[in-house]
Amino acid sequence: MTKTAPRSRTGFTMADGIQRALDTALGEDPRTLVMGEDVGRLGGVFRITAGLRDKYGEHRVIDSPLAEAGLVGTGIGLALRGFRPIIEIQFDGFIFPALNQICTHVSRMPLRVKDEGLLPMTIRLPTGGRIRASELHSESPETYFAHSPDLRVVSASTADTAGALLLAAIRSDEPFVYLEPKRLYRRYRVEPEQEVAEVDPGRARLLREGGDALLVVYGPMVDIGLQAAEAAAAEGIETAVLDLVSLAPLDEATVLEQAARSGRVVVAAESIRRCSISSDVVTLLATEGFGSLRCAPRLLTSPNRPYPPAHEEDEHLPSVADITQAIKEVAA
Amino acid sequence: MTTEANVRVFNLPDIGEGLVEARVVTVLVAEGQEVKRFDPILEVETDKATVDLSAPWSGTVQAIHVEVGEYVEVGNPVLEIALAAGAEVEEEAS
Amino acid sequence: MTVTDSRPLTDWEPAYRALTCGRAFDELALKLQRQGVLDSYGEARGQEAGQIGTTIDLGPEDMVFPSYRQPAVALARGVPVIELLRFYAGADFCPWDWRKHGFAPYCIPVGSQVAHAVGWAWGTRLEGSDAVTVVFFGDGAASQGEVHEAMNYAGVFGAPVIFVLENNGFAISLPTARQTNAPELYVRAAGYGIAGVRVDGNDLVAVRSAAEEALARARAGDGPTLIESVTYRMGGHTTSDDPRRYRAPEELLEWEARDPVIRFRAALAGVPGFEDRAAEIDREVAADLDRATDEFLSERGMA
Repeated sequence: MTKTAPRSRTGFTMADGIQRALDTALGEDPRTLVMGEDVGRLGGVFRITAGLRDKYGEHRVIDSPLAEAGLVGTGIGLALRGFRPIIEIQFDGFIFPALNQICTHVSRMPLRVKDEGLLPMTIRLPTGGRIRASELHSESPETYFAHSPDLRVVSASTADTAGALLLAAIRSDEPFVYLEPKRLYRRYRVEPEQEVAEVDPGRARLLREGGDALLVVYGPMVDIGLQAAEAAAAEGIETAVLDLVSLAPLDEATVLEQAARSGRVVVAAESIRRCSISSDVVTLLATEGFGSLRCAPRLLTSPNRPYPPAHEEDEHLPSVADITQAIKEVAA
Repeated sequence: MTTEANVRVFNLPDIGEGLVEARVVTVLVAEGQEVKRFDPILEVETDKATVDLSAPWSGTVQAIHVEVGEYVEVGNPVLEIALAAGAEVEEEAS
Repeated sequence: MTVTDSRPLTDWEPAYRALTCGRAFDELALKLQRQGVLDSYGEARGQEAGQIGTTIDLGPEDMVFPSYRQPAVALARGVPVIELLRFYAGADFCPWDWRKHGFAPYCIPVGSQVAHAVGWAWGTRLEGSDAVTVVFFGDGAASQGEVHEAMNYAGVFGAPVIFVLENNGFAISLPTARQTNAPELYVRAAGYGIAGVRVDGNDLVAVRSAAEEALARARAGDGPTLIESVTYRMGGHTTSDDPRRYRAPEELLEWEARDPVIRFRAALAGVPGFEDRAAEIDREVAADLDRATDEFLSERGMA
């Protein structure tokens, strides 16, 4: 029986990076507000906003009533007035009451009044599964937002860039939905010098080079994908791993450019397959990149079924082994 | 996980939807101490809260693998309990 | 509380002009729609007193969030007639400068604008401004969960907002009595810990008096007010509607007798010099609308 080795306490997690970005945003612009259920006194159910209310006061870090449509709706009013609300929705499965506000106003009002900078608001949303949570705490609802025109949707994926990506969304005058893979909040630590200062929220990011195949992933599938690429490498297959970062709009140029290198592509995501971000990537490859493909792309997603009870979630989601196998098949 | 026929190892559970680790705040038992199921054994601080963990089985604390202030990863051993006579039966019946 | 008391008829001219202009625009828009010049138009006839009474005393720093049936308010806030016509002609979702006029874009999803008004009002409060925000919605919208959420937020945050619930009897075809089992809607204010009042929405003097109190409350930082303005939609929901399919003609006759324009004129009849000045205002309003119509038709190549 070995004793648990004390973990390194240096470095920071994705949760730390996001929290620091919120701190920076609140500090640099007095019109920035953090709003959401339990974000003040408690610091949020994931403790991402812990300490911010003490530092900036209850009028900047605001505990809202338990009502998501009212939360996003009042956020819209504040943004119209010139504030920069950063809205935390508690869990992916709880954003649905706010969909009317998001789909009919956040995504459309700038066009309605011909003012791109009308709504400088950011909606933060913990997403994704594999955490053995209750029903509707492990969803991947990104397609709903991607399907709302003029709404920008990005997903964090690694600790070194999560903060810079959030700051880019907050500082932008366009409305953003910023997805936070909750399983990754504190899973990995990176050293302070590894933190990336600036991120282009519209650009996909190549996380690993490889000439034999391309794996396209985002959000909670990024670390799983990197593990699969590692496993494939052990068998002699070098896989490039591309993190989409921006789910809407897609960084089409980078996807096509990277796909063309090997012509062998695997796309993997936690969401269901139908009308998904990942099926959109495959559509892009089929319509704009067909000439450079050397085999049919593989698409690994959850089946078109509701997210299951915790006991079944590992089977529901594409695994490292599933992705490794798909890489081997396209590279064969 | 059982090292001997009647000794069980208690591993740190994920008590908060996706937690990775916990810091040991207080060890509430000593090696050789008798515990009953649900007796508090450890106070830990996670990223979300400070909470008590309780003994999953009745028996004698055989070994303690953690120290105060130490970070323990979810799934790693916390302590071992030599089962009291009848404890296994009691557990199966519950 | 039901407001029936009158306030002195001082400063009646702006209200009279706004009321007249609103009514004249409604008549014009209906005619242009029936000529195929405008697309769908949401008729406002009968509701003008409640709309003008709650907004005529607002200043340029104040803000109005309409639903989609407040042309009288738009015009009173300085939105040019031609810009309003462009909206109904499908040229633009928001042809007016909403910040300059303090009149937000029309909002089509019923009830969803109420939270925007609360957020805006809350923002003014965070800034330390004493600006007030007025938001319009109807008896149908009052059934929307979002309206409930918004009013609750306003109560919690003490937002300086006036909720004008235009109870015009119908949500398209559904009468208020089938919209809710509650005989009065203003009582919902108590559920949010905010002030609530019911007022005869066809009596501009009474509405203005209720609004004055709500305005003072909001400016003083004492929170929101729900004003239930009891009125009647004399026309259809829009020009595509046919109200004869769901209501008796006698009902309309009854409300025509309570026409808010006629009632305000009657209330002013005793004011010295009213008749002459009113006739002048009527002529000015008609001339303005004529000019805007000519310009609009020539812009559409229909002059």
